[in-house]
Amino acid sequence: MVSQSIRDAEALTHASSKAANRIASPSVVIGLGSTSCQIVRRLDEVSSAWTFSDRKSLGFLYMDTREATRGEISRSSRFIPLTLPHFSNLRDMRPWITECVPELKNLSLSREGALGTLANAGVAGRFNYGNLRGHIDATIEQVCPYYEGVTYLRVHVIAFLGGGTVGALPVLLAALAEARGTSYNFSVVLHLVLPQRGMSRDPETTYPLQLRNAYSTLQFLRAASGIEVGKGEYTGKDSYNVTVYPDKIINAPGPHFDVALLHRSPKDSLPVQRVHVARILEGLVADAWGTGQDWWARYHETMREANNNMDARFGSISSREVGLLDGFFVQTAKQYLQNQWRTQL
Amino acid sequence: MARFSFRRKRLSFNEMTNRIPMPVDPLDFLGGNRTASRDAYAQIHGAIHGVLGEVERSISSLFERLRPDGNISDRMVLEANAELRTELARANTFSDVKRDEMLISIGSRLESLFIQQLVIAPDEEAPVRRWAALADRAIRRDLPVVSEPNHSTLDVSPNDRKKRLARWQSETDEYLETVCLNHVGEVIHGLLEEANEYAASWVEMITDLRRLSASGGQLYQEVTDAEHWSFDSDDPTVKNLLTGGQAQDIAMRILSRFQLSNQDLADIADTVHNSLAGKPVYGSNRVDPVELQELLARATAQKIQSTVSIDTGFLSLMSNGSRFGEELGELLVDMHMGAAAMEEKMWRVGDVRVGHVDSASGVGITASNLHDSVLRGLGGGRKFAAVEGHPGDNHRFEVQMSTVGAPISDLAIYRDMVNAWYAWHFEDVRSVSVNGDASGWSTSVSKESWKLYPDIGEETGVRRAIIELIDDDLKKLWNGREDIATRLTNGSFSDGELLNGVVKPQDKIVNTADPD
Repeated sequence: MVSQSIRDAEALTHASSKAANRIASPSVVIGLGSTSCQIVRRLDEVSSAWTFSDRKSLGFLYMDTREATRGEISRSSRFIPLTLPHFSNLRDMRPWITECVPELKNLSLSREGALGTLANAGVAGRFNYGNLRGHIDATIEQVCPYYEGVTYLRVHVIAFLGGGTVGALPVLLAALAEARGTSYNFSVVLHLVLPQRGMSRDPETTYPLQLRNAYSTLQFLRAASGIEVGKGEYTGKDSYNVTVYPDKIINAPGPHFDVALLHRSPKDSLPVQRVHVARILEGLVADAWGTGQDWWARYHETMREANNNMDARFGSISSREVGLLDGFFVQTAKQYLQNQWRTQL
Repeated sequence: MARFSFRRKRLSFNEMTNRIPMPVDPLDFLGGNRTASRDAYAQIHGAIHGVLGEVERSISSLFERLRPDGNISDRMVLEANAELRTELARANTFSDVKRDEMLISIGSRLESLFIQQLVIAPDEEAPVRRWAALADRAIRRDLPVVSEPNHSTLDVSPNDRKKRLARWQSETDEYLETVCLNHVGEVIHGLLEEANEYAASWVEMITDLRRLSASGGQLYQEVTDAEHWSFDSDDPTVKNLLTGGQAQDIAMRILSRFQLSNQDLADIADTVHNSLAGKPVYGSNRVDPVELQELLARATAQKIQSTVSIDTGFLSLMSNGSRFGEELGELLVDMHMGAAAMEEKMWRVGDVRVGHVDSASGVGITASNLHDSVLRGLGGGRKFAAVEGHPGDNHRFEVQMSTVGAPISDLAIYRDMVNAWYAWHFEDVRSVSVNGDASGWSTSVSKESWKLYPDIGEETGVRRAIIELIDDDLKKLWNGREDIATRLTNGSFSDGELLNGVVKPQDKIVNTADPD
């Protein structure tokens, strides 16, 4: 309770200090899937106390296969439902479907209980591609008004690796690659939330499925990063094609992301995971402030020193947000108070 | 023989306008400076007087309109009476609002003063007693009657009307000043009540704090026991690499150069006050001393953290002593065993080397031979961007006391992933019919892959690339057993244990040629 109240007080103090801008580069934050949308929503709420100029440099985009997510975010937010029309309204065996599933009838079998396979979100992402592009362009235009001359921004994509909606990630990355071809220049930061055994509803059955999904998605990211392995017959290219509704082929040239960060929750609890990842995200979005400022400086330093572009592509973050340094300074402050009271009383 | 009149001097709002001060902050005497009670009284008086200035101007304008040499109608007199009553009511309302505002401000300032005094002068007596003399000046007076002249009273010769208007104005003037002084008195009463509660709570709070900080007290135990300085985290990817004793030592060095400025003190008081969310610092239902101490510590911690200069961060504080370089090397080996090991397990060194970009915290200027220790600690080979040469023959080096150090059990994420992937493909009913046939496994992987890799078209996608990657993973996992540095396992498990159970020997090759 004490720490919460002191954090609220800090937030008030920060909110009242109008002089300091937190954001130097505008950011678009995209939540992919229910877990990620909750994290983005948390950041959305936290940032509501920021200054107007910071706030207008931030755009939020929510994507989920679950329509109920729309009700859980603020009404003014941009939400893209990854849903499909009824199968009877879709013609089977069109390329944008068969690239994902051999036949449309298989799609209904593609969910395994609560944990969907990736194909469902992949098809839905392709069907909603036009909507996705429109929202991405509009959000970028919103945070980087062209008439203000700002043409650089960062796009943060948050995805839970164990979920099913992460299947739409290739489509999202293709949409971002297409958007990058416009007059805007942006870097993409992938926030990959790792599955944790203790957070699965059923650790014996769903956790292995989450790990399987995580492995598949990570392999996709590795392949899309252009890594060459073995004989290099198929690997080594960082571009790929995606066919989207209605059968339009999108070429997605790499690099698809600048850095991918792995996030683990300090505790096996959804609220803790939400707060923890949102706090790290908050730090990174606020690139002119505190930890974010440090981190981006260190990131660019790493990129400079890396042998090749791959070296610094993946990273892990577990910096001071986790509270150990905070703990040290609180303890030091206690020592200070103890000194004061012990010597004077 | 001279005759003296003992008649009480009439109160006049107008006269007071030029005699009392109009301070920007009428309550600044609560800030701890040595303002005399007479001056404090004048400041409060000035604040209430100030809000009535507008009413006084309206009343003056009203009397201007009733000038003695002009015509006057019955309606004008009626309207003047009504307007005057309205203005007097406004005077009461304005004074009430100002009084309430000042009383709230007094409470807030005294709480802030209370908190500040606890930090810097707990041994001093409560600084509120000197305002006790204000009580003598807070006298409540009855409001004088302001007459209501009618048309016949004012419809007289100009000279008479002038005298009557002057008397009426003077009654109004006295009324305004009485309202003003009564509200000043109410503010003073409020101030004295708060001051009494302050003084009573101060004594009790100091007793509590003395108990907490004395030998055996809770605070004393917290700061002297090294256990409290270890800051272990539940996060498996985070490990504190400083011992409690080292942390205590660093804290003492930080505190030896730490001084609170007045602004810092005010900020701390504000933060604590805001975090209490309305709970009083003094009074009968005041905050618990332990909670207050905790809030004070957290607010002070922010100040310490912002005061410790980046250039003299942790490393320079730690770098005393001959063993510093060696200790640092050991820390870095631990880091390598933690984060680096986990990352290597997940991504493999060779194709995607992980840029270790976390743990940006302290920047220290250290001796140039540090670089050697660091490189040794890292075991060579690994790119570690946190260490770089410095043009001034110093090395800018960053590591934080809380750094990544995953326990061995958490290093198996990659193994678990492969295992899960493998099990899904081969260990359920789907794979029963392809027992022992390598091409059958490949067929099975290809057949089911659409569920896992939805971006993969037959011609356009990256399915084949992914299968090639997986093939490579499995080969490396099996063939690379000997390549894994034994120091990373920390002796907790053997290499064989790491890999057996992940893939069977015969699983190591997956034919990447697409049978379709």
